[in-house]
Order: sequence, then C-alpha cells, then structure tokens
Amino acid sequence: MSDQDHLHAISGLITALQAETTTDAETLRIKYLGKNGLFKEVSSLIKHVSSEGKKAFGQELNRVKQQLESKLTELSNQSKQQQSIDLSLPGERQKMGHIHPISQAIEEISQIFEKIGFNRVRYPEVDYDYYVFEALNMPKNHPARDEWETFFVDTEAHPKMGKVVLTTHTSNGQVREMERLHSKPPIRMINVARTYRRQSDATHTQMFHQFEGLVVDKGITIQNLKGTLDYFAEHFYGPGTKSRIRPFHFKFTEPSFEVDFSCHICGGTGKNCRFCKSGWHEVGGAGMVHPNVLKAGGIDPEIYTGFAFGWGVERTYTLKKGLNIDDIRLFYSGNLEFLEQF
Amino acid sequence: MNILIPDSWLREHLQTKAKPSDIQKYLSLSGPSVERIYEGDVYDIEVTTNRVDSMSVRGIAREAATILKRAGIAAKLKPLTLKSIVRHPAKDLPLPEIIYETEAVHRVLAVVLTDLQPAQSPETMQERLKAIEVNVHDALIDISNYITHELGHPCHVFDYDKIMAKGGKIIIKEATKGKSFVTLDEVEHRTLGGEIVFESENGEIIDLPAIKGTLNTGVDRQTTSVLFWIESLDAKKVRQASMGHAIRTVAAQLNEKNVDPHLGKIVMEYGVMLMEKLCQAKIASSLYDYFPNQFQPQAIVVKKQLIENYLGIVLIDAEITSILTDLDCQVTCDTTTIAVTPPTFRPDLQIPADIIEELARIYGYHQLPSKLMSGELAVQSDPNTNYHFENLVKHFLADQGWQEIYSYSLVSKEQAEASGHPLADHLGLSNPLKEETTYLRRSLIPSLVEILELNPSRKELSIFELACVYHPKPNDLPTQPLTLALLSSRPYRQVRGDLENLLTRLYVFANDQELLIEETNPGKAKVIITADRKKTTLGTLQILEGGLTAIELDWKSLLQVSHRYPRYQKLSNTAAISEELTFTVPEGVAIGPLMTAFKESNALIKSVELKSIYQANYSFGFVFQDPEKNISTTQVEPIRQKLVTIATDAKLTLVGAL
Repeated sequence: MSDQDHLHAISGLITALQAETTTDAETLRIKYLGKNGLFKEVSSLIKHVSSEGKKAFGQELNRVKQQLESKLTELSNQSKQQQSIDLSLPGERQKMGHIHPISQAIEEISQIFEKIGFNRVRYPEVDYDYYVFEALNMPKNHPARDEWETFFVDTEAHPKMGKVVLTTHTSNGQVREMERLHSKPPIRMINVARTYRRQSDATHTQMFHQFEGLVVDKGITIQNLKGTLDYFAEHFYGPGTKSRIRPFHFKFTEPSFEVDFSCHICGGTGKNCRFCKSGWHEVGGAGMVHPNVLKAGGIDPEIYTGFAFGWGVERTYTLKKGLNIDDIRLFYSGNLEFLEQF
Repeated sequence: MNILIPDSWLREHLQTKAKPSDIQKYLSLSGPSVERIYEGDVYDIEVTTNRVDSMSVRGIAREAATILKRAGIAAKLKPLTLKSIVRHPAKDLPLPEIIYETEAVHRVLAVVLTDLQPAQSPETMQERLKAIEVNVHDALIDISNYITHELGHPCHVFDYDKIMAKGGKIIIKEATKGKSFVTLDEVEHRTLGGEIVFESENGEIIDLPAIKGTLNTGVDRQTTSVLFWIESLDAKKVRQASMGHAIRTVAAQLNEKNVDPHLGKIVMEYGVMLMEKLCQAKIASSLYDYFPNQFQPQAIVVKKQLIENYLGIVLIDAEITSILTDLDCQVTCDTTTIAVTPPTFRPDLQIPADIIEELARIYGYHQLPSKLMSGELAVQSDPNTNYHFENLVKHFLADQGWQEIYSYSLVSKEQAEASGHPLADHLGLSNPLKEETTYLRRSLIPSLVEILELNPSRKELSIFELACVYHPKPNDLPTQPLTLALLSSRPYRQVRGDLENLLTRLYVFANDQELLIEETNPGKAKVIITADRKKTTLGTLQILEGGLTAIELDWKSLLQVSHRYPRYQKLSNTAAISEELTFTVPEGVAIGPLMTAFKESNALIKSVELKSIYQANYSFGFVFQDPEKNISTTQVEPIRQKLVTIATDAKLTLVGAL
C-alpha cells in the first residue's frame, strides 16, 4: 500500500460513519473510537507509512479523529433531541373544508351509474309544464298531478309549452334527453338536479335533489331494470343488499314500480327493526317508459322499449347504514356544526 | 290513497286460510301495497290512483283472491248476491221528477224508503267504522259510510220530504257562477260556475253531487222517509268542483277516479237491505235506474312479441289466459296476438302495456331474473358542463379549507334585493309556501352571507356553492347558468390567493392566461382572464360590509379558460438570479398595475412576486432569467434600475440604495 492509500483509509472512516444506519451514538463510539475500534485499527497503519509521509499521516489522523468526534457528538445530540419530543402532543392541523354530503352522495351515485355506461346530464330546474307533465302522459288537470305539489312561476305561459313551473321531479329530463339525442337510442341517462315541491317537514324540504335514470334501446326488459337496481344497491349500500320492485302507478311508466332495497340494519329480516318496513326500505319509483312518452320523444314504441327510475338523493343517502340523519332539513340549514361532520 | 281494512271484514268477501302476514306479503309483491298491519289485524293498504276498483273491502278481496292463488295459497272471492229492490205492497210514494240539463251524467239510481225508525248501528258495524277511522253517527248515516267502504261506490241519502217540499224536482245541471249553498257541515259556499249541481224547481241548490250533500235536503232526527240515491258523473267535472271548492271528501276522491257505474246497483241493493234491517225501512217506490250510453270495454290486442320485449321471457298461452281470466278479463289467443277485453271496473286497462303490466305483476316481478343490459353505449356527454371539473373544483376548494354549502334557490324579498338586481327583475312564485322562499335568486351571494351570519362563532370562515341562478328572459324560460360563488371572512389577499390557486389547479396560468381583477367601482371588480388580447370575464369580486370577500363566477366561462393539463414549458438550462426590492408605497397607489408594469418592463424578468408588506414598505421578489444563456449581474443592473424608475414614477420610494 502506498502512503496515499493509507491516507484514503483514514478519510474512509468518515464515509463509513456517514453510511451508518444506526443512530445510537454510544454503539458507534465504541465501533469507531473504542479500544479496539476502527480508528485504532487505521492508526496502527502508521508503522507502514514511509518516514517522510508520517507527518502528513499524523495530521490526517488528527483531523479525522476530530471529525469523527464531532460527528458522533452531533449524532448523540440528535438522539437526545429525538428522545425529548413529546409524541403525545396533539397535531397542528391545517384548516380543512368539507364537501357537502349531497355532493358526496351525487358523486358516488354518478360514478356507480357511469361504470355501467350511463351518461350524466343536467336539465333545467325551471321548466315548462310540457316537459314536467304533459310530455310525460299527464294531461292538464289530471288527478295524477296532485301527487306533485307544484310551484308555479309567476310569468306568462308559453302558448304551446304551457306554464313555467319549478321541476317537481327530474323526469322532465326524459323527453329532453330523447330530443337532445335526436330520438336515436341507445339512451342511458342519469340526470341529477334540484327539484321542488310545495312541502316542508322533517322528511320533506321545498327543495331537494333527485337522480333519474333512463335507458331506451331495443330489447330493454324489466329484467334489465332489476339488474340495474341490484347493481346500484350492492355498490351504494354494500354487498348483499337486494332490491325488489312492487306494482305502483305513474302516468309516465307502464308497468310502474315502487322500488325497495333490503334493510342492511336488520339484514332484511325486519325483526325488531325500527328503521324499515318488514325488512325493506322504500326508495322511490321506477317503471318501463310509457309508449306515449317514447312517442313524445320521437321514438317508436313498437321498436324500442326502455325503463326509467327517479329517486331522491337525500332519501337514498340517508338510508346508508349508521348515518342516522333523521331530519333532512339539516342539509340546507348551512349549520357548520352539521356540515363539518362530513 | 290509503285504505284501512280490518281482516275480519276482508274475510267476509275472501275465502282463504292465508295468515294476515301472508296477505300482506303477497298483496304487496303483486298488487296494492300493505304498508302496515295495526293492532286487531287492520291492514293499512296503499291503493294507487288508477285502481279505484281496489278502493274497497271487496276490491281488495278480489285482488287478494287472484294473487294468493298464484302464490299457491287457496283463495276465492265469495259471491255477493242480494235481493232485488221491490216496492212494499202497502207503500207507494212518487219518485221526484229528475230532469237532466247536462250530458255529464252516466248513471242515476234512486229509490224511496219510508217508515224509518231512529236506530244505532250494530256493534260490529260500529267497531269496523271506528277501525277505519270513520265517525259513528246513527244507523242511517253509518250505512252509507259502511257500504261505500265495503263496495267502493259512494251513495247519498236525501230527506225525501224536504225534496218534495221544494217542488219534487231534481234538476241536474251545470251551475251558474256565484250561487250560494250550505253543505251538510254548515259551511257556506258559492258556485264557481260549470260544476254539476242539483237544483230545485225554484233554482235553489239542493246538492253538490258526488262530493257532498247540502243542509237543505240532508237527513236529520226528524227524517222518516229518504230518497236513497247513487249518481255517477263525469269524473273530470267532479274533480273540477272538488278542487275548486276545496272539498275533498271520500266520495269526491272516489268519484273523480271513474268508479264503475255498473257497481251502483249492487251498492243500492246492499244499502236498502241494511236500511230495512236496521231502520225498519220499507221500500216505497220502484227502483229508478237511468243508465244512458252504457260503457262497453273494447278488446285490446297485444302482440305476444311485445310481452316478451317487456318481460324478457316467453309466457305460454295457457298462463296468459289463466292470469287474465282470474282478473275477470275475456281472452282469446291466436298465434301472434292476444285479444283482451277487460271488465267494466278496470277502465285503467287501455293499451297493450297495461295488459303486460297485469301479466307481469301477477306472474310476479320477483320471479323475473335480474340482469344488466348489454349492447351499444350512448356516448354523447352533456355539452353544458364538465362533471369532472365540478368535482375537481369542489374537492380542491374543500382541501384549501373552504366549506361547501347547499342553500335554497328560492329567496326572500330582502335577499332578492341584495343581489344587486331590482326586485321587479326577478321571477317570483305565484304560490310560494313561505315568504322567505318566494323569488328565484339571481345571485348566490346573499344566501351565502346569510349562512355566514348564522355561524357567528366561526372566525375566518370560507364557504362556497355551485348552483344555478335564474335570469328572466322575455317569452322564454329563464336562463339558468351554473354559478360558482365564494364568500369568506378571511383577509382579501388570502381569498384572492385561494382563487389564484384554484386557477392554477385548472391550468389557467399554465396555458398562457393571466388573471385580471379590474376594479369597476370602489370595492367592486370584474374577474377577467386575459390571453393575448382576448379577455374572458368570469364574474365579479366585491368587498362587502364587514370586509367579506365575495366572488361569483359563471361556471361556463370558467370552463372555457380551464384545462385538463398545462402547456409544457421547456425546462430551463440556464441559471436564474433572484432579488428583492423594497419600496415605501404612499396611500392610494394600486399595486396590481405596478407589478404588471414591472413584469412588462423587460423580457428577462421571469416573475414578479409581492413577498411581504410591513407598514408602508412592500418587498417585491424578482426572478431574472435568460432562456438562452446564464444571466450575469451586469445584465441585471440596468433592468433593476428600470424597475426603480418605474416605482419612483409611481411615487414609490426605494428603501435603502441599489
């Protein structure tokens, strides 16, 4: 070994110390500066250094020893400092905002339907009587309209489209979507929007949200509606949730159904469950699109069939297990104590 | 419409050993929904508006018989046969003269009964009426309520002597407007004009038929002879009158739904039988039956392929016939079609889809498989928005500490006025529920201000909402642009910083666009995005009372300037020099334009940033960079000098020396 190699061996100690992964200063002190430590081992090389190189070797030894000591002191201090952190201290948090629960619900619902090919859309909240009722097979003064507590806008009626109303349901999007797509199926629409009814209590607000599914194509059957409902139930409420359809009546669907999801609280048994009706939760309506509605959208009911469903976002969301919201007016209260929980 | 039916009453018409829980389960799956069973086995059943035939004990029994049988439980509708109405040989009273001045009458049945004795209803009848939440009176009144509930056709009893004392005529006609009449509950009404009324020969209104009786011809304790009466009128006319007068009796709710006029006769026979039995009444006239233009249901032809199109399965002829025959339809099948003639009590069956519904529900929706659809997808997305950006903006703002709000689109007069638009330029509701929700809002800001005020304990609160506003448009629907509103009680610079961060996230700046807050009035500005010479106004920014910063942006305009990715800038290979200069700024000098002037003074200035403000001293950070070669301090010197000149010209004083 040359004198240069001996000098490199000394400076190599610093590199080796820096590469150490242990932070225990005492262990390292013993390893490097202990009686049989690496420094002593390297110092002993002096006997192999040429007489003219001995001075430089001695100076380098001193320099490196100082560096080793200083590095070990630094590690020791670091270790002491680390030990002194009180980990029980609470965290300092950045101010955090919250997405409104209705937005969270809409996002989740939309994503579920988008995965099975539905297109999200939004149609006017203030719309003509034509789209809200008449095109949906509900002529003027029909008793079926009673079920929709309609708000009327104080403005002149359109000679053909009728009065201007606040949409009582998202079903106004049905014929509008058919028109947008130039009456050419396939249609797979999910329309989410604000809707309005003249009502207010713990389970009803004047304004609420609905999501409306509409599928029109050749060969669409009740089985496809059932498949879609089951798919949604499993993904929104969790595995094992079932759906069922029961006879109901809407003017714009034929046949019409009431849709129930199995209660995830009692597992659908209904036993001693105060949240459901005999193991089921009623979420809203559905049905096969009425031929007159298809005709209003320019689609031939002899060739195409379709299904539609429309449910309240708030109602659907509050049925989630463990959510326990018993007054949907809270959603619109602007109460931060409520909103910051989401 | 919900109907209550005690189990014991149902079983008078339904022969079955099914338990109440079975009846609940199977009826709900294939017919009217049995929502609950109350104590004493009283079913609470929801009957849909199109099924007036099921709005009675017998109607439900008929449905149950068909449905239970399909579920494998023996069940049968018991026959209902009653004796014909024959005048008592010792009694003979003339019927009033009935004059028809309208064609809206489908059927009238009437008979005179006399020698009625005051009586109470038997205990079972009273208990059943109580169970269905109908008040118990005396037997005469109870009978009409009882048979209406049991068989589903409303009926009425007039005091015969009162009718005869008014001339013995019943003129059925459309009312002229403004005539006064008093209903049985002693409430005075005035005719609306056009509704069907009964008048005496001197023009006095003596009944609001199919809805409610009038006091001047109603029975009372002195009544000994009655005119027992059933009418069937045009349903639309009944509804018009009922809604117009806001009289929503059970009779009105049934009669407005096209109760089968064929049902009238058996109801009349049942009523007469009960009056004879309970009130010792004697039939004093023959049965009057006016039944012009009897409705004959037409056959509905359904293609078998269509049944398969809806159900996704093939039903064999025998099954189709069995289901529809059980529902009292007449059915004939050929190779490709079936012809179905519904019974008179099913006016809801009109088109092939109605028949398919009957087949599917009785077959059992629960028996049909569940499967997702295959086939081509619809791909035309909503041209009016971008839902990805909607979610992105919401998440980004929330992550920056902003709370999302949903507030009502309907606002009060005060909030409408606070929008900056005159009240008269707002759309209002003609039938608001509450005063505070009367106008369609044109700005989201007043709603957000209200929410800030509702949460006074929250210091430095930032809230936002993405919702539509509504601007009136002549002869059209209002425009309903989606709007993003932000309101914060934090200092202006922080709020603007968040806005700038949002625009950064939307890659607005990374696509060679800049933000311009153009002050229009003190504390009010336009939010503009500039690119080359093009300006896009996004909305407004204003400082409200109390130092609140309010920003309202048009969503579509924001989308126009937003991008999904940046325009990539080549990585710089040259070194940059960063420096700070501090100036004392006199009051009234706007910093924004000054910074623009700094930036535009030399192409080698890469960025200008306001680093800090201490009292009147503003420190600006400058980055100098030449993309071609490393910049030297000698090159920076004249640029720096120019910056000081710009500042001095704007009355700023350099702190220290260059």
